[in-house]
Amino acid sequence: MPGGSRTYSMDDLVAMPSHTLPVLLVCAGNRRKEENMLKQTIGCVGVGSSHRLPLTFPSAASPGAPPV
Amino acid sequence: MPLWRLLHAVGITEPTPEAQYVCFDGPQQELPKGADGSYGTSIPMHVALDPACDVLVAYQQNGARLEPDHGFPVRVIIPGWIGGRMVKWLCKIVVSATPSDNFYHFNDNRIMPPEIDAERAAAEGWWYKPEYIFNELNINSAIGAPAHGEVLCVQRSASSQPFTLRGYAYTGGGRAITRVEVSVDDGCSWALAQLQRPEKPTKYGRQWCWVFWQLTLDARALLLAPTLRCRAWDAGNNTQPRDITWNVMGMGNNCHFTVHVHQQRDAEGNVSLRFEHPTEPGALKGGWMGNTAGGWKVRGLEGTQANHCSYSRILLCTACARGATRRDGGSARGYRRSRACACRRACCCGTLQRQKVLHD
Repeated sequence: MPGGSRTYSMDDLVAMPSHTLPVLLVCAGNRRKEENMLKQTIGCVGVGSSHRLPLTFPSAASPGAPPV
Repeated sequence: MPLWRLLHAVGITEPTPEAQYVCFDGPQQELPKGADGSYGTSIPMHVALDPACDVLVAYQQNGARLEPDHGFPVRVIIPGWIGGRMVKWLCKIVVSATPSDNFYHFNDNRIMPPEIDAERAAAEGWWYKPEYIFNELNINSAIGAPAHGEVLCVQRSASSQPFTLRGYAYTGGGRAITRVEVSVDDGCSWALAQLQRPEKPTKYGRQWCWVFWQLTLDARALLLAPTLRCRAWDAGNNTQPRDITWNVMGMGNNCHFTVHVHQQRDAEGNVSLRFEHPTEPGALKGGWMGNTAGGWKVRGLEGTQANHCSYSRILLCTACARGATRRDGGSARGYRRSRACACRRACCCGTLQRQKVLHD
């Protein structure tokens, strides 16, 4: 549908086949604090400033999920 | 649900000159800058359409609806990429011949050369140079145990005293972490850690999760250790650099994760080791890099090279420190004479130039 648009409701999305998988999420600024100690950066201080573990360890949709 | 299904549903099954990118936009008025205050970015169409890349339009996490903080009701998930491309509170998906024109697509999540500060970046148009975008994660690892501030009492009487180091490692692009190594002599020699892989690869062979590593040493092996370092390797044989490379957004830092070891001796002569991480999270002030922005000084790469060699000198045996001469098989024509360590420590097996630095 070149140039066109389509709107999906949550019901539309949930009705489509889903896929579940484990995924690691990592902030681009993981271990930023070490960089800041060398020289101040302009990256967000509150996010990813830790030297510690990446942020979360989620998985996405699960099959047969209840209606949203 | 897979993004490629949604694209197929609207008739897009392969990249074309008009369909080179998939742009994602969050809600308007969310952020202070840009035309409408939305956060938006884009990914190449070939990534979006590739089932092996597992790009999701996700509405659940851990079997429950997304939390507001994690993008309720719908967000993007791009395994092996930085979080900054995984737009939360997703409102709009646009197929385009060009990358997203959102303010934050250009003015965030970039890794520029270290000489480019905020002023030069703005004045010279660095934010808009496509080659500096940060998309796929780079390889990284860190030490979790020993923790910052942990103290290990080294027993003199025990025949052996096992001490276990632990940490994590990850990389981008679905590549496997193939090994993690630990050094207790400032990177002169490395020991292989054991890997634990909590998740299996996908059916396409991609690995989207981190691994955990551990290595058990005799505590007495740490008595001569100036630092503990870890570095990971992946299936592309990428590894981590020894030195940090500063960049204006402070992104992608993956240098050796280095824990300093401080030896302490009490009145009875008992020896203990205190471990100090480079930094502590958030506003906590501990760490050998200090707690003042810009407060930690290195003299460029030359400076850190020099530091490295001076550390090595501390570790040299007496014979080594004298610069003893020995036969050294380093030439295709046979033995050649060179000034080299006689102690055969791993840190003395570097190049001739390095030996020269060590002994001059």
